[in-house]
Order: sequence, then C-alpha cells, then structure tokens
Amino acid sequence: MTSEQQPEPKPDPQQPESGPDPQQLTGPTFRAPEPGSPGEQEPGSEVYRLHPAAFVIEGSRIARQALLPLVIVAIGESPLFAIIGLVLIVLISVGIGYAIWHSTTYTTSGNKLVLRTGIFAKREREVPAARVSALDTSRGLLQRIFGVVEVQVQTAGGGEKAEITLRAVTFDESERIRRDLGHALAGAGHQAATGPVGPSFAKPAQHDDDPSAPAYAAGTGTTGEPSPFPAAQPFEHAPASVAAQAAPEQTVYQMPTNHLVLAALTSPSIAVVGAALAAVASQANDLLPASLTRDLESRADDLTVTAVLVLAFGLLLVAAVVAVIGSLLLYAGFTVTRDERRIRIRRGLLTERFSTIPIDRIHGVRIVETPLRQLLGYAALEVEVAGYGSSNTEEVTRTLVPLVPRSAARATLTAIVPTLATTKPRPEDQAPMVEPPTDGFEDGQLAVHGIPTRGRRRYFGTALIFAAVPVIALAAAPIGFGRLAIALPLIAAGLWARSASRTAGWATLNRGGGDGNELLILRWRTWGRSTLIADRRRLQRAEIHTSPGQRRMQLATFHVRLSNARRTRVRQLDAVTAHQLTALAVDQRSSQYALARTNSA
Amino acid sequence: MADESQPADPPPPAASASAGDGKYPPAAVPTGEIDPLPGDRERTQLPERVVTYWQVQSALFYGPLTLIGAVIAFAVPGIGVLGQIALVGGPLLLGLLDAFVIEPKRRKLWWYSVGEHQIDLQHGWLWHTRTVVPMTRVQHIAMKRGPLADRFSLAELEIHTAAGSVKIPALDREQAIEFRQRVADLAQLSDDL
Repeated sequence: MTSEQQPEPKPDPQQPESGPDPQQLTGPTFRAPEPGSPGEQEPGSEVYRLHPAAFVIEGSRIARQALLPLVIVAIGESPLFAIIGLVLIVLISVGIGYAIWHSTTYTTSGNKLVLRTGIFAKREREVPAARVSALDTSRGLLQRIFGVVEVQVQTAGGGEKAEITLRAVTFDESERIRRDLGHALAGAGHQAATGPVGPSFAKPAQHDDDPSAPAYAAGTGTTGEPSPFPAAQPFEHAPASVAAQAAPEQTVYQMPTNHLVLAALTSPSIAVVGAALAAVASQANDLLPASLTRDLESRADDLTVTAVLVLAFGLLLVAAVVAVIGSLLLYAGFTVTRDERRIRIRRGLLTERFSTIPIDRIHGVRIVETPLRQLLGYAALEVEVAGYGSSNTEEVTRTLVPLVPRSAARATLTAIVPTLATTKPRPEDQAPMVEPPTDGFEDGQLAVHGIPTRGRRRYFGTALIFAAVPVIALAAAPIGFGRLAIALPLIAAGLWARSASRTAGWATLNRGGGDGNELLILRWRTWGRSTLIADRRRLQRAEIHTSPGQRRMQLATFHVRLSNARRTRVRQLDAVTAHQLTALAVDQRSSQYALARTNSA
Repeated sequence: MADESQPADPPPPAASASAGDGKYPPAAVPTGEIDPLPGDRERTQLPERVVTYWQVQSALFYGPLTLIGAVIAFAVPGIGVLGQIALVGGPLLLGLLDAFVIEPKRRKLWWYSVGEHQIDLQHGWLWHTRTVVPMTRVQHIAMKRGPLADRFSLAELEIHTAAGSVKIPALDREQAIEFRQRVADLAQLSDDL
C-alpha cells in the first residue's frame, strides 16, 4: 500500500540481457499498486499489463462486430461512404483496443491470478491456483503476427463465467503464468527467447522393466512394484525447481495423419452435411432424366426445381469441403504429452493451442462413437474437466483423442489418464488386456449390466413419440413419394430404440489399491454411443427421475453430473438399481479420501 | 411461529439388493456395502402454509390471465359464445386445478433430508426427481426472500455446486437459517453472507 516513487521498472528477469528483441516487448513491469486501486496487494508483488499487441487484437474483435453492420448499411451508398466508414471503424477499434489494454492488469502473486479490467467501472476477478482446472494457450493468426499467445484459464463453474482470457502475452510470460499457477509441465518453460517453439519432448521414458505392473491390483493393496504410471498425487503447488526434477514428460499419443483425415471426413458435422447432400442428390436423380426427356416448356416448373436442387447441392458440397478443411486445421498435429501430474494437449495448424490439465482434475472420460465412426470401428475420446462444457463449440476443447480404433480406446485412456484406467497399462501394446476383475468384465470387452426387459420396451415408446412428427408430416404432405416414405421414420425409430435399449447399461470397477477408488461406468446412446468412465468420488450430483409410468413398472432414469455440469443419463433402469447407484455415487464411506473443499472443483 | 413441518410418511422399506418382489425379476445392483441415503432414514416436509403461499402465487398468475381472457372475449367482436367460455373458463379452470389439486400434492411430495455426508431431496407432483448432493461438493448456500415470501415467513434456499444449483423453494425462515448453518458446518463452508 505504499506509493513511493519508483525508478525505471525492473527488467523482466526472464528476458535475455542481450539486445532488444522485438518479440520481448512485454509491457512495463511496475511495483506498487496504482493509487486507489481496489484490494490490497502484497508489497513487492508484480503487476503486469498485456502485450501492446492487445491494441490490435482486442480492436480487431470489435472491428469484426462492426464490419457486418457497416457492409449492410453501405450497400447502395457511395464508395466514399464505405471508405470513410471503414476508416472510422479502424480508428475507433484501435482506440478502444488501447483503452482496454491500458485498463487491464493482472498479477499472479499468492498462488492466484487476479485480473483487473474495465475502462470505466473496474472489475476484479480472482482465481486461486487450486481452482484452475485447465490452462490453455493458443496462437491465432494475429497472435502469430505479433509473436504473442493468448492465455485462457479454465475454472469450475459457480455462477461467474468460468474462464479468464489474457489476449496477448509473450510465450515466456505465458509459461511464467503457468508456473505460478502450478500448471507447468516438467521440462517446459525453459524455451529459447526467440519465441514459442512448442514443447520440447523429452525422450519417452523407458519402462520395459515391468510392462505388466498393474495400475491397480485386484485384492488388497499394491504389490510394491514401481508402476510405470504412478497414480497422480492430489494437487499441490509445486515450485518450479521441484517440477523440473520430476519425471520428464513423455508423449503418450500422437495422431497419425490417416486418422486425422478420417476424423475430418467422419466428423459429426460432416455426417449432417453428407446426409443432406445425399437427400438432395437423390431428388436430383429423380428429376433430371424426366426433365431431359420432356419438352422444355411443359417442364418449366421442374427445371426451376432442378436448378434449385443443383444450387443446393453445390452449396452443400462447398459446406462439406469447408467443414473438412476446418477439421483438418483444428486437429492437425494433435499430440498429448504427460508427466506425473499433468497432461498437455497440443493441436491446431493455423491456430496453435496448448492446454494443460492436471490429471487429478480429470474427473471422467468419455468414449464417443458416432454412428458412422462406430460402423468403421473408431471412437473419439473426450475429457470431463471443469470449464470444458458440453456445447458444440466446446467439442474441440474437450477432445482428448480425436480418433482411435475402438479396440484401443481403453488402452489409450489408460496411458493418458492412469487414474481412470480400466485396463492394465501396456504402453507398447495397443490391444487392451483386461484382468478379469470381480465385477464381471468380459475378456477384451467392457461388459456392463444392461437394463431390464420391461425397460427396453419403453425405448420403443419414446422413439415412437419422436417419430410421430415426421410421420404425420409425411402423411399430410402432398408430394407423392408414395406412402412408403412413412415407413422410413418408423423403421429408423425402431432401429434406434433397439440399439439404444441394448446399449444402455452401467458397471462399477473397483481398482483396489485399498483406497476404495471406484470407477462408475455408464453407457448409453442418444445419437452416438457414449461410455462414461468417471471417478465416483468426483460426482457432483446424482438424480433419480421417475414418471408415473416408470413408477408403475418400478423403473427409473439415473442422472449424474460431474464438475463441468454435463448431464449423463441412463434411462429405464430398474428402480432398485438406480437407487443403489445413487447411493454409491455419493457414498462417503471412505471419507478419509473425500477430497478437501479446496480441491473439490 | 409454530413449526408446521411434519416428518413425512415413513420412507418405504429400504431397498434390499436384488429383492425380487415376485412381480419383477431381481435387479442387478452394485456390489459392496453402501450406506443408505439420508432420505431413506428420515425426511422432512415443507411447512403446511407453503400451500397457501403457492396458491397465492398461482392466483397472481392465473388471475390476470383470466382477466385478459375476459377482456379479449368481450371486447373483440366475432368470438362466439364457445370461444368466450374457453377464453375465460380456460385460465380459470387451470388456476383452480393448480391451486386446489396440484399445489397441495406438490407440497405433500416435497421432502428433504440432511445427512452427515449428503443432502437428499425429492420434488415433483407427477414426475418425481430425487436429487442427492455430496456434502463435500456444496460450494455455498444462498437464501432468497421476497415480499410475498416474507409475509409467510418463508425463504428460498439455493444450494450451489460446481454442477449448477439445487433449490428448495420455500422453507420456514428459521428452519432455512438452521439448514444453512447445519450444511455450512458439515461442508466446512466459510461464513458467507
């Protein structure tokens, strides 16, 4: 709280002492809070500003929003108007960018990140290091031009926006923030001063000594052998020196190019576009021969329709190509590295992104198989982390492995997130080897308990209700596809119901080791087939829903939520099963391992 | 104010694992010893005056709706007698149904239970939802009051977790404070205002 005169700001100790490097233009580092700034600051703590590139980057965000209205308004006006408008937008946005830059400061003292923003009304946001669930840095086009990165700090929910974004800092600064918040990977953070070069991969540690050492042991306690993938420790802030002495990070997954292409071609958005393409194409086939064999005038209507169809086809094709290219750019170079405590995901071509996630923040993982990928025998792996939600825009963020053969899915999960392993770890062997545990797993397959027969029947009822709309629409439509078309939604509904009712199920896996670590495994199908493997100690909430019909038949739907608030549902379980699963999900029997509140989100 | 919360009807006999009652085949359940849920031991209902509270809220909603219907029915020309009856009678009927059938049932079915390690509650009048939250996941509890709730000495509690919040819509104010204190102790929450 002193405001003594300060000499020139102390040079940032990480910057090289040699000549000025234009990429090292961190903003001035100054001590002592500005007079009147809210909150107390420990004396000597450093307050930082964003890189000056923030002018342009923040400004461009604003400019982008203003551009479309300008275009709309300028249509029909003179070019001079448009030019003046453009210049005005540029000036205003740079001005606002400067104002934002000037009013944004942050500090990482005291194991927390405090961000102060606001041009007029100052807002202070504080995130303790213990609440940070993941830390992402990314480099988009603008960031690359200026040699900076964008930092996003993910936290668990709680009413506020679960994310703090610093739009422009140097790579060294981002690593410093990572270290201060305890997210640095061992071996990282000692980059050359010339800017981001990506993490340096240490040689993968050799664990040939005991490839079959179990990550868990059936029965009582560990065998005492060093496991190649030791269980993650509870989160604690590790000083940088200790982190550097820990085991070096190793690459646990690197996406092969053929998988990248396949993932891009089979991504869910592609499937939708592809289906639309097929529908349009089939119609075009019907009409084109007819229009070619008839007189132009008498088929004038058909021609227009044909033209529309051709146009639609063309647009959809363009959309499909754009989507594929987008996927390729997003997932290019997807690599997962890991040390004892954290995993780091690197992906992206145009926009390069690094995410670090402490392993003990990973409360669950999902194996997701969309219908097309399931046909081909592939799956995608997703991670359940606070802050990575379930919206479509976050699909890329929560991806752990974009595509992997289904048979290798659980082995890959074991390698990346050993705390949620459902197989014995065998790093050199892709095929999962399953020790038959007491819970009734089938060899090689994750066997789950299914739902009772009377529950399966109800899936058909649900499907029928959803199929009713297209059936009625088709029945009433004047188009003469033939009444046979009505059968299509019905057949689709029946197929879905059959598959979903057989997929639904649950299992628990006791990993032994004496700590009562039980994994809860849920499987269900909404569109694609999903399997959730979750640490049952981390469940935030469990619910049992019953409708009157379900109560009559002693059935129930079981809901579960992890810390990212994604809801998981298994429908039509036996009511007793649902009750016991709920009790298990919140059982605190092994309460000495119930996590302290500071770690709980 | 006299405590009008009564213990609910005793909970159904504890679900015994794999119990087949003859009608349905025995169910598969997770193995091992599992503590029963707090709501299996004892349940607390909401106070009886909550029904009146909800009835007033219902009247405040359906009353104006009926009025609007009446205005439309008689001010807009060309609506037949049937239409007029529907526009006025519809909201009225719904309101009466809501106030005298639904709300009492909803209050009767609402219960909560605070165990040492979990908060267990159930609500719903046709579709029932039972929610269980581990005590260690509770982030904080907010108490909300409104002018109408104050008249009835009721308060609403919102239990925040990292995965959203759970609401108890109307508790006796004293009991709400007690609830909040008890959960704060059990969950080791810092004193939040």
